[in-house]
Amino acid sequence: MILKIYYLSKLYLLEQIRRQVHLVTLFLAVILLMLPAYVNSFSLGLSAFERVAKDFGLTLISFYAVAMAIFLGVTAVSSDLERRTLYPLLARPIPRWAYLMGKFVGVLVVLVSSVLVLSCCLMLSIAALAKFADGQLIVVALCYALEASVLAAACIFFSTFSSPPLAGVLGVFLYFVGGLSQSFISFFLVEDRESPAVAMLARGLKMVMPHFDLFRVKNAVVYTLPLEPAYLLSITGYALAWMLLFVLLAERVFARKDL
Amino acid sequence: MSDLALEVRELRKTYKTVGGTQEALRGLDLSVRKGQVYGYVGPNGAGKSTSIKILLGLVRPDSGTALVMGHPAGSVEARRLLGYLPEVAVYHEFMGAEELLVLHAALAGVSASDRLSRCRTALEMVGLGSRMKSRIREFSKGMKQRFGIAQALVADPPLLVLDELTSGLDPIAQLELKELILSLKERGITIFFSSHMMSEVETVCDSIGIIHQGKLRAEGTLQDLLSIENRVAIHFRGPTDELAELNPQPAKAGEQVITVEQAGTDAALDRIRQAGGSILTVAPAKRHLEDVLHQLVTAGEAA
Ligand SMILES: Nc1ncnc2c1ncn2[C@@H]1O[C@H](COP(=O)(O)OP(=O)(O)OP(=O)(O)O)[C@@H](O)[C@H]1O
Ligand SMILES: [Mg+2]
Repeated sequence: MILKIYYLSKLYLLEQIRRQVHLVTLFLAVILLMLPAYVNSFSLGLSAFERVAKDFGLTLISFYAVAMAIFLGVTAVSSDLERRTLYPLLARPIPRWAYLMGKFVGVLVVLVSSVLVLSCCLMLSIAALAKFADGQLIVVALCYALEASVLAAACIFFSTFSSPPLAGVLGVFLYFVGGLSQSFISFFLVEDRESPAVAMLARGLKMVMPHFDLFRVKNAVVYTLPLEPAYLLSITGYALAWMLLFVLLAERVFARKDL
Repeated sequence: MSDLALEVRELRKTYKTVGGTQEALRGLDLSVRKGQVYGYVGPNGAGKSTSIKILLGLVRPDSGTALVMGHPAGSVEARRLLGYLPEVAVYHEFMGAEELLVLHAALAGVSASDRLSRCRTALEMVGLGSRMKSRIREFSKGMKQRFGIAQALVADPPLLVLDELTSGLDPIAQLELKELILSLKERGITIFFSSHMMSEVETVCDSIGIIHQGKLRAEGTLQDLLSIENRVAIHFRGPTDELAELNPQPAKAGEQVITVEQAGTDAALDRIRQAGGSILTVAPAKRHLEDVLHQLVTAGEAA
């Protein structure tokens, strides 16, 4: 069965490469590699540049990962469904969960490998100036990849019961509400006596959603703070749990679907 | 072990649609014996594709049972023994034909060492031998259909379920396909296919099922269905009013045709001559599958 999932992922990846999805990543990689060229125009000191470059680069990577996650998650299954390329595949002796898993693993590979490439480029271009390769950059970027993977799993789930545009909107909604930081909620919403209902709603919604803010550890590397391995481990476990949940939910819906 | 490749009992399916519901199957029964070539015909919207999708597990029935080679339809075991050609031929169009077929073979459980040769044989069988490296998107409609047939054959399954087998194929390809079906049949493979090409169904099928409005209306061999009795068709030109009791039907270009029992041929010919008509041809009356289908459909709609 593992082998069949591998073949399904391979099919997905080959298709994505033929669709030139990887060129988008490469385009962004080039932008990141050219960062040092801006150093004079910033006319900041080297350490300030480093900070700005890390901040800018990582933000770019995180947006990219989120956009990719929503796009790939929403299209992974629905494009097969809409083009009906699903029929010959599901006629093969594979259970539907394996099909979903194959897609998800494919999306995962695209996300993680893109983020890896991009963060390596960022690290290199900063190292070119600062003469120091900061490996933590990659760790932070991988946390973004984790966040994006959870989001992608959610989007696959959404796409099993709604149209692609709606699934995309649900994904964006999940990303924003699930990503509200605790301090943001307590500061802006809970303290606001005018609308306790809104605060309740925000808290309640967030409670049942993945806490995306947990994955945003950019400050650690921008301000060179230490990153606890235990923390990294716990958010990885947290992310895997959510992914599993979303894939299981997707399977529940998908297995009952008339195609 | 039963000798039925497909066994469908009392299958019902109602789709939910925008405006309400659409009943697609209303108690469908089917039995296809192993080794048979079975033609599945019926008008558009009769429920052919719906029932085939249920056999594949792509659609869930509301009630009834369906067994594929003795396994519940849609189970992995059932799908392992079955090659499927979908009605609409769409495949991952960015993939090369051979490349995609190898992946299909792998998913179907063909061992790694056999895959490539199996795929090449399958592509050659459907006449795509010279286009193995082409991407699917570069194929014409008929070529995609051929690819679909190759994809159904690739794992060498004992049962083929082919929806709209001849759709988009040129006349030569249809002839070749007929040969292919007969050679597969010789190897003992069961073939269940739906088609709108009655001539093809007539020539290759051992058994034919006619479905209309979600129910099987007739089933049997071609002979059973056509019930070729000893009737004779007489084409003639001449007055029709005086021959009204023979019930003449207009045929092409001012000709009339009457159909009579063989024993009454002489009498009928005499009557036509007496009335001043001239005989054009006298031939055994032949019914076609189309006629049977038409008759069943009009009868079904009247009921
Ligand atoms: N996904 C669907 N949703 C709603 N109704 C459907 C769906 N698929 C089929 N139907 C309905 O079910 C009935 C049977 O359709 P089906 O596709 O099985 O017919 P068919 O015999 O294959 O026809 P054709 O010869 O045109 O392929 C039709 O009335 C059709 O409108
Ligand atoms: Mg059909």
